[in-house]
Formats: sequence, C-alpha cells, structure tokens
Amino acid sequence: MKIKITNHSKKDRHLLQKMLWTVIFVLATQLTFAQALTVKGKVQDSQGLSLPGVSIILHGTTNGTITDADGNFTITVPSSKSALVCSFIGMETQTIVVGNKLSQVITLYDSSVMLNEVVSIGYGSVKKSSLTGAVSKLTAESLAERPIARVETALQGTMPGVEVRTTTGQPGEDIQIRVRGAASVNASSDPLYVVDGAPVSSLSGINPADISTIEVLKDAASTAIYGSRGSNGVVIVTTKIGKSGKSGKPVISFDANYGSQTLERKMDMLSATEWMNFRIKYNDATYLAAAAAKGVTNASISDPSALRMTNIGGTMTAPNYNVVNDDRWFQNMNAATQSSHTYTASTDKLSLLDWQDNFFRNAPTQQYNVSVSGGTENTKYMFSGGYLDQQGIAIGTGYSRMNIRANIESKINKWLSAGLIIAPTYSTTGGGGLANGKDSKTHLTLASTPVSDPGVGYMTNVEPNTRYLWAGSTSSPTYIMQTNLSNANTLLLNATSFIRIEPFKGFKVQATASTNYRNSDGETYNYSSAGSAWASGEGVNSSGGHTTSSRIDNSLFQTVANYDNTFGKHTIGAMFGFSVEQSSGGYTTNQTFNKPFPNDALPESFNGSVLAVGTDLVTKLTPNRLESFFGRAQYDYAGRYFISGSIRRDGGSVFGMNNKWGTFPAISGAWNISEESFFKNLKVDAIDLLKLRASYGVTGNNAISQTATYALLSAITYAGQAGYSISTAGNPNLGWEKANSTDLALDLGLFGNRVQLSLDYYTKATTNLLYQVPVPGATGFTLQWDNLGDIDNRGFEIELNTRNLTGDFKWNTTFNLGYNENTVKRLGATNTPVYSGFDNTNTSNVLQVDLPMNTFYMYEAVGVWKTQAEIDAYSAAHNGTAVTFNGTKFKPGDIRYNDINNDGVITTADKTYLGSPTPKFTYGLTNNFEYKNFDLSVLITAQSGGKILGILGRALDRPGMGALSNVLGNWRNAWWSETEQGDGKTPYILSSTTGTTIDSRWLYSSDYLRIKNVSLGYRLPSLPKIYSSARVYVSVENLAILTSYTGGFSPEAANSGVSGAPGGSNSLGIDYGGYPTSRVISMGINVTF
Amino acid sequence: MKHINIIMKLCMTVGVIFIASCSSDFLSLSPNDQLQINNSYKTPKQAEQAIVGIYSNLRSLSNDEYLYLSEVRSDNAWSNPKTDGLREYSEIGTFRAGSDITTFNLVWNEWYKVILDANTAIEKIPAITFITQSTKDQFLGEAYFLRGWAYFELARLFGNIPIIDRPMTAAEVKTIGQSTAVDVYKNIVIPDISKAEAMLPISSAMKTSEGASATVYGRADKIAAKAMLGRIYMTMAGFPINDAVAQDSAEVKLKGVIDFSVANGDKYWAKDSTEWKKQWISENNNKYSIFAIQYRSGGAGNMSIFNFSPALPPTYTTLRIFGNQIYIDKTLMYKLSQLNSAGKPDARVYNTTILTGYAAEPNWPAYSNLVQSLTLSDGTVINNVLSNSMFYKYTNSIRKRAALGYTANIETAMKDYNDWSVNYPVIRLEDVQLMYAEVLLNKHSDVAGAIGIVNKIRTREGANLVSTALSVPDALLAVKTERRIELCGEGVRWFDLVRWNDWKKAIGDKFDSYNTSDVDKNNIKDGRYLYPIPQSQMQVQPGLYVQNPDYN
Repeated sequence: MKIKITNHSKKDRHLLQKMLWTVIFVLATQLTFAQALTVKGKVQDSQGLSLPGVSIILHGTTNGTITDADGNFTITVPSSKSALVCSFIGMETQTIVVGNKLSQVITLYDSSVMLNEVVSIGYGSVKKSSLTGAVSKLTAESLAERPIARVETALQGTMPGVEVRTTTGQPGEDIQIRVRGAASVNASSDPLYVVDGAPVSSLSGINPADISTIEVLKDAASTAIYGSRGSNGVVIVTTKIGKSGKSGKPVISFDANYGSQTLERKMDMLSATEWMNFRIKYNDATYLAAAAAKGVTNASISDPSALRMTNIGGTMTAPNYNVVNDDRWFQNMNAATQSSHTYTASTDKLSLLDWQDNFFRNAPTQQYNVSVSGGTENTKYMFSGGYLDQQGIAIGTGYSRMNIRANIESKINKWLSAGLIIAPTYSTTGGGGLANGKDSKTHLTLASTPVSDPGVGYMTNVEPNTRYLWAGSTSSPTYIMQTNLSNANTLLLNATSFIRIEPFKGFKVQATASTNYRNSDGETYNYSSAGSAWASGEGVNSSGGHTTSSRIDNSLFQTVANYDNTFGKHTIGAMFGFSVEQSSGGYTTNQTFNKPFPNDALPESFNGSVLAVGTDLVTKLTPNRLESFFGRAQYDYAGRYFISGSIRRDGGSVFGMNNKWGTFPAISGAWNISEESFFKNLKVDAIDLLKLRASYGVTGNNAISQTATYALLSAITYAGQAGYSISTAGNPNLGWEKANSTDLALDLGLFGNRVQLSLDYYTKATTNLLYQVPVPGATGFTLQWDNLGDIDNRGFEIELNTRNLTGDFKWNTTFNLGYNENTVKRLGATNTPVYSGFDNTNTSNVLQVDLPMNTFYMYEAVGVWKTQAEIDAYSAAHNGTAVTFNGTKFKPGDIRYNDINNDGVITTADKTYLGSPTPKFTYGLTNNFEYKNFDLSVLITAQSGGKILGILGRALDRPGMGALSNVLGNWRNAWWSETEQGDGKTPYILSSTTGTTIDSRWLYSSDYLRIKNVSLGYRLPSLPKIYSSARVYVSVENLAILTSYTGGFSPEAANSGVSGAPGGSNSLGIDYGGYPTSRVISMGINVTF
Repeated sequence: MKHINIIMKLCMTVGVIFIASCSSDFLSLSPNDQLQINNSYKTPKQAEQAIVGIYSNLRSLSNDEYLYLSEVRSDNAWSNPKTDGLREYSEIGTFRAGSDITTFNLVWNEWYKVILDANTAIEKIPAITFITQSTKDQFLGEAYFLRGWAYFELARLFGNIPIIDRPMTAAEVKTIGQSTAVDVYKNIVIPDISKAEAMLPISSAMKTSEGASATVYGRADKIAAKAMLGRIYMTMAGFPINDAVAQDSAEVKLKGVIDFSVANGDKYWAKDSTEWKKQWISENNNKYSIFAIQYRSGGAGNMSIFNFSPALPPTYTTLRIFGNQIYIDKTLMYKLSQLNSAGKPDARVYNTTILTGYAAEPNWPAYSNLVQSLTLSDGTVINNVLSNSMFYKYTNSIRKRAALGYTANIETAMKDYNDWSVNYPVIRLEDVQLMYAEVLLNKHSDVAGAIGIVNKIRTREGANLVSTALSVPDALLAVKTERRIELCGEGVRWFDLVRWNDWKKAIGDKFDSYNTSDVDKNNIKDGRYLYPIPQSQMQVQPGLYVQNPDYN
C-alpha cells in the first residue's frame, strides 16, 4: 500500500505541474472508454423535472459521464452486473444495477445527508464534506414547513452557537443574533449579513419564501474572508433561482397561510377585587401612620372618612385619597373587611378591569407568496411576489410587507453569463415603539389601575372621562394605541447585477455591482382626545408630533475570480477578489414641540406658518467607505487532507488617519481519518466518517460612527448668535477591533451516516476593543473612542443529527447545544470598571476584569425583616451597631440585604456580583416524523445560565410605590405587620429604606424551555394535470414555555438600558415591559404547479 | 482568440478600477456634516463663533448649579424628603446626597466643558490675524473671564479640583491631580479674571468680529469682570479660606463697580419698584444685570423656570408646567411676608419673587397653599406661615407680564417648556452694593454706610427702613437678611451661608422647623460645606482624586 501511495503522489505532482495545459485534455479523455453495453437514461427529481449535470459513474471505476441539459445520459458499461452511481449536489446518491434495462429513468431525491451539501463560505462554496471551518446551514425545505414572518426566526434553535433572541415581540422589529457570544463592548455585536453576495445592515426586508439557503459562518477561519466585519460571525443568505433545462417547463408555486396570534403568557397582576382589598389595607396603613405622626393616639381602621381627614389635619373638602376609602369598594369585600370598616353602602357598580385582556387581542396574520421559476437552456429565472400582513397582539400595532423579486441569470455564450436581481420591498409598521419598554403602553397596561368609575370601563382619563379619583394619572393605554399615530413606511430596493466569464473550465471571474437603497418615512401624532388634558380642547395634546424621512444607500462593486479543479486525487480551489463599498445617506426631521396643531384634522401637515416647527436636515451624511482585497486557496488531497488559507486586507474610512488598513489572515485544515486506508483496514463498520478540523483566524469589527475619529465642533446658538462648541475629542489612532479565534472540531458519521455528530470547541479573544472609554470630566468630555480592552469568549457546540427510523415511518432528530462563556480581560489602561444599567446613577451591571460582560452587580435581597426582634438580634450580633441602609435604620417590613462584609450595616460596599445577562447554554431540539403523506416536526428551544432584570418591578413591585396603580401578584402576600408577615419576600408597601434602589428582588433566572414550533403537514396525492405537489399544514409557534420569570412577559426581552451601555443597551438584560411574544396558530397550503 | 481579447479588456478594466480605488483620498473622508477643530479657528469670525461656543455651555448651569446646588441646598428652599423615588433636589436639600448624585457630575462636567472650549480658544485665537487688536483682546478677555469664572465655581463647589489650563489629551488629564482651592484661586481664577478685566471693554464698546456693537448679546465686559473679582475676593475673605487681605481687594473692586454705576447715570439701578419688577421681564434682559446667562427661545432658552415651578394653570402659561416640588422655606416666607408700617408688603414679594397660589381654572385644580406653624429662634411661635409657596421670580407668566403692561406673546417662539427667553442673573448691582455693605461693616464698622445701602434698596420697595443705630453685628444681620430677600432665587444664598460660616446652623434650623423624621441633622457634617467629588470622577481613574471629607 505504502509504495502505491508514493507512486501516486509522484504522478500527481507531475500532473500538478502541468495542470493548466492538461486540464482540457483530461476532461476530453474522460468520455473515451468503449465497452460492450450501452445504457441510455434520464435523471429527474422527485417532482419529475429533469436534472442536468448529474454525475453518472460506473461503480468501482472513475469512468462516467454527466447528464445533459435535459437530464439525459448515455454510458457504456462492461456487463449487465455493472452498477451506476448517480450523484448530484444536494441529492441523495443512488446506485443502480444495470440489469437488463438499457433505458433507465432514475429519480434522485433531495439529500437529507448534509455531508453532500454545498456550503457557501463567502465568495465561493465547498462541499460540506471538505469543509474546514465552522459553518451551519439551513435550507429552504426546513423554512417551508413553518410559516414565519422574519428570516431570523428560522435560525432560532436550529444552529449551535447561534443565539437568536426575540428581544421584542413587536411585529417587524429586528431580532437579535449573537454568533458565539458577544465579542464587542461598545461597537456592535451584530453579525454581518450578506444577501446574494452583498453586505446589508439587516435582514428585515427579506421574504423568507424567497430564500434558498442560510449559512452562518461562525469561526474565524470562515469569517476572516470578511475581514474587518467578521468578528461577530457572518450570516449568508442566498435567494432562489430556477434550474435551467431544455424543457423550459416553469415551476409555479403558491403558498398561503393564515394564523391567529395570542398573548403567550399573561403576567400575574392583582385582579380588580384583589387591588381594592390591597388598596384598603394600604389606605388603612397610610392613615394610621399619618394620624400617629399628628399625635392622634386613638386612630383605628374603623374610622369613617371624615374622621380620618380630621385626624390627619385635613378636611373632606380636599380628601386625601390615600387615606379615605371609596365606599363602593366594599360591595366586593368579604365580611371581615366590611365589618372592620365604616362606610356608606352603595350600589354603584365600579368598573372592574383586566387591562391585559383588553389590551392584547387575537391578532390575525396572513401571508401569501407566489413564484415562478425555471429555465431554458441558457437562462434561469425566478420571479416572486409576496405579501405579509401581521397585526400585533398589542392593539394598534402591526406590520405589513410587500415583496417583489426577480432573479435572472443568462448564459450568453459558452463563456459569458450575466445576471440581475431586483428585489423591492415595501413595508409599513404601525404602533412602532409605543408598546415596548419603559413607560410604553405595555408597561402602562400592567400598571393601570384595575378599577374605574361606573360606566367608564377602559376609557379611563381620556375623552370624555376624567380620572378615577383613586387611580394614577395614566390614560387608557388601549385607547391611546387605537388612536395615536406612530407609523413608519420603508421602501427597500435591493438590486444586484453581475457578469461572469468562464474562459476555461473551473476558472470564473465575476464582477458584481450592487446597491441597497432604503428610504424610511415615519410619523407620530398624539390626538387630544387620548390625553388627560382632552378637556382643554382639540390640538392641546398634539405635542410630540413629528415626521422623519431618511435614506441610506449602500453600494458595492466587487470582482472575484475563482478557480476550482480536481486532478486525480488533488482538488484545488483558489479565489482572489477585491471590492469597494460605500454607505451614505441623509435625513430630515420635522417636529412640533409643545406647540399644538390648530386642530387634529391634519396630523401630517407641518405648516410652519401655523406651527412652531423644528426642522433638522442633513442632506448628506458623511459616507462610510471600505476598500478590500481578499484571497483564498484550498487544497484537498484524496478527500483525506484539507487545507485552506485566506487573507483579507481592508481599508476603512471610519478609522483614524494613522490606522486605516488592517490585515486579516486565516488558516484551517481538516483530516478525514475515515478515508485513510489504515482506518479502513480496521474495519470499523459503524464509523462512516471521522474527521478532525482545526482553524485559526483573525477578524475585525468596524461598527463605529463614521466620525468617531475626528475632533468635531457642533453648532450652537447663544443669545441669538451662532457659534461652535467642541463636541468630540477625536482620536487619529483609532483602529480595528481584532479577534483571534481558534476552532477545534470533530465530525463523526455512524451507522451508515444515520448518526452524525459534530463537536466544536472554540476560543475568540477580542483585543483592541473599540470602546467608548470614560475619561475624566476635566477633559471636557465624558467618553472617548479608543482601542482599549480585551474580551475572551470560549465555548463548545454539539450538533447531533440522527435518522432514528427510516422505513415508512421516518423519524429524524436534530439536537444542538451551544455553550459560551465570556470574560473581560482588560479595560482601558487601568482596568477601571464601567458601571451601567437602567440609568447612570442607579446602576445594575458592571463591566469588570475577570467577570463576564455586564455582570449584574447590586444588593442581594434575602427576604424581609419580619420583626423588630430580628433586627435587634442582628444588631446585637454586630456589637449593637444600628442596622442601617446607607444610614437609614431598617424597620420591620423593610427589604433585608445580604450583608456581604458582615459589618452589621448595609452600604454600597455590600453590592455583589449576581450573574450574567447572557445565557451560558442554548439548546435546540428538532424531531421530524414522516409517515406516508404526513409529516410532523417539533422544535424545542431552551437556554440556561443567564439572568434577567425585570426592572418593571421598579414600577410594579417595590416598597413605596403606593397603590394608585396596579402591582405584581406577589403583593397579595406582602408584609403588613409583625403578625401578618406575608411570603417573607415581599416587603411592606410603606417601607422607606430602599425606594427605587435596584436589588436582586427583580433579578430573575432567564432560563426557559419553549416548545417553539409544532407543525403537522399533509402532502396531498399528486394530480399531475392540476398540480405537481401540494401540502397543507397546521403550525403552532410558541406553543408552551417553561420559565420562572415573573418580572415581565418574556425571558428573552431586553430593553431600557442606558444608551451608552457597554455592548449596547440591550446587552444589559434589562426588561422594562417588553412587547410580549405571541403564540401563533396558523394553517397554510403550499402548492407547486 | 476572440475570447482572449475580451478577457484582456476585462482585465484592463478591472485593473483601472483597482488602481482608482487604491487612491488614498477614497478612504480619507472628512466629515461633511460636521465641522472639525482642525479646520476652524482660522478667521476673526470663527474666533467669535468659538467664543460664543464657550458661552453656550452655560445653558444648564442656572438650573443645575444655581437652583439645585445653591437655592435648594440653602435655607431659601424646602422640598419634602421623598421616600418613593429619587428626586435629586430632595436629596441635595436634605443633605442625604452622596457622591453618586448625577447633578454633581453634571455641574462638574458642564464647567469643565466651559474650560475645554476656553482653553482651545485661548490657544488658537492668538494666531489669528485681526484688523483691530481691541477685538482680539476682547475675545481673549471673554475666554479668560469664562475660564476663570468656571474655576471659581468649581473651587467653591468642590474644593480641591484639577487645573487644566490648556488643551490636553485624555492621557495627560489623567495625570493631573487636584490643586487646593486656594491654589485654584491664586493660580488661575484671579489671574484669568484680572486679565479679562484688563482686556475687556465696557459693555457699550463690546464688538462683534465685524465691528458691530455686541452689547445686545450680554457678553461679559470689564464691569462684569470687576464685579466677579469682587465676589471672588469676598469668597476668599470668608470661610473656609478666611484671607483677610482679600477683603481689601474686594473693597476696591466692589467700589469700582458702584462708582461706575454712579458715574454712568445709576447704570444697573432700577429707579422704582415697578422698574425693579420689570427687570425679570424678557424684554428687559440685560437692562439691569451686570452679567447674566443669556437665554433666547428657539432651543437656547432657560430651563430653570420649569424646574422652579410645581405647576401653573393655563391663564399663566400655555405651556405644560409640572416642575419640581421645591417651595419657599418657611423662615424666608415669614421674612418675605412682613408688612410695612402702612400694612403693605414689600413690593418685591407677591406675584414677583413668589407665587402663593391660584384659583381653579377649567380642567385645572386650584393651587391651595398649606399653612404650618413656625418657631422663631427667639422661641416665638408664628402660626399660619404659608409652606407651599413657589419661586416665581423669572416666570414670565401671561398674568405677570400683563400686570406689568407687557402683552406680547413670548411663548409662540418657544420650542418647549425649557425654552424661556428669560435671562438668569449671575451678578447684579444690589449684590455688589450689599457685599460692599459687608465690607463697610467688617472693615470699617461703618454702620451708617452699610445700613444706608440696605435702606436705599428698601426705600425703593416700600419696606420698613432699618434703624441706623444698630450694633455692627445687628447691622450685619440686617445686611444678610436684605441679601436673602433681594437675591432670593438667584443662586447666591448657599455660597453666602458658607462664606459667612452660617451654613451649619441655618440648615439645622431648617430641619428643625420642618420637624420630619425623614431628615437627619447628623447629615449636616462639618465637611459638607463642599460637595463631593462626583463618583464618576472618582471612578474614572481610581487614585487620581481624593474625596472630600465627610463623603465616605
């Protein structure tokens, strides 16, 4: 054996030397074998369409042919016992014994074995089996089974190491993707999106139905080819195009689905009756405290309202509603409460409200797509149109999108092809931003008082009703959502054209020009009737009206040359290219400040002669330019040894004069042990594939402002004079953020590839973090961009695919698991911690060396001081020190904190580290079942090891919040007295030690397990005259969730962090009333004609 | 062969694009939507725009410093301690505020921003060619005035602070520790403002870069510098520096201002009480103040008015006003409500300096003041002192303006409730006169001279005159009381209490008079005549700065 290999190698080297001269000859001689039997045949796919380019190889030899444009082939074989191996990219390989059939029709089925897939690796593609990097892939088939409104949704739970987080359930909003953890602090941690070869800023305009494949490049060896934008991973989306063929028969497909969305999880708030009960207790307590402060010794909860007012030094002409009760409450109280109070019985029925039921609705969603694809001998095409209309579960919100796409590729002659993609998208968003985060209507829905005056119902504090006297000042969030405007319309135009020459086989040069144009118009308007000041008249509440109009256009020009060929056992691939990109834009904002519109009739008309209109106009923003050169070489010997190296050089306009260019190399290799003869000699039948992969690469991140490097002045006026004041310090040395990554992996195929396992271990060390470093105020600034700081990410990923049953009843399972931990290694020159949170003074998170990014740092609540005796005992155990919180003495009913330094008093020194907002583990599990024409798939996603701060608790769950608004359900079991201690966790409502202090009472585990999707489909019997295939399905998205998070709707929510927070405001894991996720039950049909 | 030709052409095209794209210009983009420092400071016009830029940093300070760190901190204002949320003014007023209060950091940063812009101007302007040297001197003088003033405020607020006297990189700033307050006064405050006094013309001679009169812009002139020096020397003469020599310098400067006023037809002096009231009206900006922070509607207005005002109904303003619950302190209220022998109140008080309430309006509840009892220092108990009166001095309400004969609607030009075109006085003649009265008493025991100044003011306002037969301490008390009434709401009181070293007792008395368990006199610690070095500044470079005593 050994000698043979050596001989081969010599011959191969010889071939390599001459490869350019011999390539055509080699190809020509492939078809020159002449033998006894001639077999003719046709290859088609499962839908009966002919397949051109299928490789037909005589088993045990290298002799073979490929099918022509109509799928036909002719081959001569030695005997009737000969077998033909038919293989085609993306299809299951079939071996057919010739027998006596000299005319064959062979049907190839789509491959479920992913090893034969072709995978995009950026500016090129490779077979999955020769992959040396870490790339995950999703195909159109898995997208089709499940109706989704957005592309990113498809990625959740289906790829290890790709964390998809629906931070808001608002229709049309971007979904957050993190590939192998967050690698940046101040610059963006979003991956780079590449659609049909052109980088775009978001996937929001893409119609999922148009997508052929989605690949996520995860390790640096794969992403380094995108250089200065590769640090956070790359998501490559490829859209569909037809197959060329002589028949020219088009495939027309149509799909439609209709769904109904409902609130996934209702929050536990007090019911109207519970709130009245709570309010009576609150008023009693407030009264007794106020009377005691006035020196009244005989106050009692049985005192009638007038006496209560007298005892607190007031009169009933100006009642204090925190002291006097509403007599009408008592109809709903139990006998004990009734008998302990003095009131005038009333039959007036107050409106008892459940705001969540009123605010969240059953919202329909519908989606229709039609496409025509196909091809003639020289032209492939796909035309599609899609329409999505999704109403939001929060009343008044919604999203609609219209997509049109034309993909055409034409082979002009033997060596020249050209193509064009035009894909306009028009979308509208309603209610945008009104129902997500602090003080949003979702927040107010929870907080709104669940009681209103008789007949008023949910129309509280809006025209024609005044405020319920015992309620807060909030106006009906439902009515506001129904009435006020907050709309945005976006036109996205994506156009790409290319020309490709192929002077000889295997060598291609493609020049691509692409433009992505986005035009957005937004408007907001508040109607007078939807505000508490409605009675002041029309127009009064119309402040805050604004319109904005912005445009961004990204253009790209790139030329890429590829050479791929195989010589005997050597397969080589080479790529070289360069690209130039520019992003530019401008905007206009018209805003009325406090000045009302004359009336509410023309909310979109900003007439400067009537209104004080502030206009902000920038016709041309500073462009962002990037210039790049890149290349890659791959070599594969006999399917055993693979090596790939790439390099990219990027020059970016966003960086400082002294630091414009960066170089990003990568190298990776793989060893397919199972192809080694020694391994084959071991005869381990169970193992079909055993492959090791390793890679190393350098990537960058350039996601900072175009002007961060410059010292800038901003225009001001003072005393009516125009002037300029320094706005930023500038940093001419500002450069790339670099990540050095390694990946070690093992691919295993067992039992006829029925079990496929991939294990990846990776490290990603980010250095020169682009970081807005806090600087002393004495500089005149608070923050300054710099390259300071290091972060390490490391983790592992497991991907397991099994085909459990393969007969009539098929059962496939895909399981993936991603583990990631990150550690801050260095911060600035002095490792000074950076504190952040919901606001800059009351911080909850810290960026600190040796801890995970944005670790929660706060007081740890360990229950409630139940009795004075408990406090006294604690004091006695600490030398009689008064037990205080920042100087204020604790009283029974106050929140008790962990005294970290055990000195008997709670001060800022007792704040402690309480976990990370980023989950450590993310899991996904898909089970697919197929029986005859039925298919069923179940997707389960989960995450664990992270925390979420439900800072909504600051409004709904804190001592001192009062009882004007509704409160979280745990206040049923609050501390009221030493004899009514409650659940031991919920404090006394009148407790005054901690107020809005952020403590761990609001910190929850963000672990969850969600049955993300269940889809049941039925393939209708084929009726070739009417349609070639049709499938109907029922699908449930977000069927069930298991989580202990009660501080908000969804454990994935993130909003309301300070804008300058390290990693972006969403990275702090703070939820201040996020737009909830919805459960979607939908049904649909896919038909192909 | 044909193919080869085409390939050659394509390669050439590609090569051309390649070379074109390699030019360095492609990546060296200057921001085209913002100005850069390096391209500015080249012409007299740009120099003036840079000077205007320094002034623009003052916009928030009337609110952040003069209202919150002086009025609210002093015994002029009272705000009930909040238990249900963080209201920084309440924490400051009750002495519970620690170094993490944002307002402290804001004020620190705002003054250092003034210093940054001034340092850059002082560095760049000398290289610019001016046709008239006096204009160049004036611009530089303004920059020196603003820088010196910034350091004065920082030193009296925070004590020991770093001196940054030229444009520096962040790395350099991180190596500069604190200088003592005394060194700040001696090494930068007094040199800068003395330079300004020498370089600046008087207001009527202030010019723009084009040579037009700059008087209407209310920029600092020679007299402003002189008055400011008077205030600085008075501050140095008092607690905690107690520099007796400084009082001599103060006397010269203060007298200089008074003499200038007299020599120029009683400039800055309102001739009667109506005129006095009208000085707070927008139209009279700069008529009576020696130096004021300038506010113009349209985005550069005064925001302190909103923050001073708890709530105002539609007949007062069409704007939404729901500011803070900051009220006139009871002892001050008692002093303000004194009637003269004819049974009339001081003309300065009702509906001018303060508003005691208003009747209900459609959809607007009445503002009914509350009453509390007050125990005076002699033990007398005064019943029914209004406890919820609001500051009203700068509020150009429709009603106040109408009462003084102004009918123009100033609210149409306002962008929002933070956009009042009403100046905030930094230093006024009465302030200078009363400081001079202090010098007369302290240095010359000149009771008649000092009380003469007090009575000149009181005569104008129709208040009872003060006896000239008082002892020096009693006369000093009268001067202090007059300062409190005359300058109420102007951000002067806290700094007066500190330099007189009366602050500890005054705050203790205030706490006692409100008798609420939520304030703790233990918080009035010895070191708290200063504010803490803001926590953000302590954290940004640990070990660089030392925290002030009594802020752990």
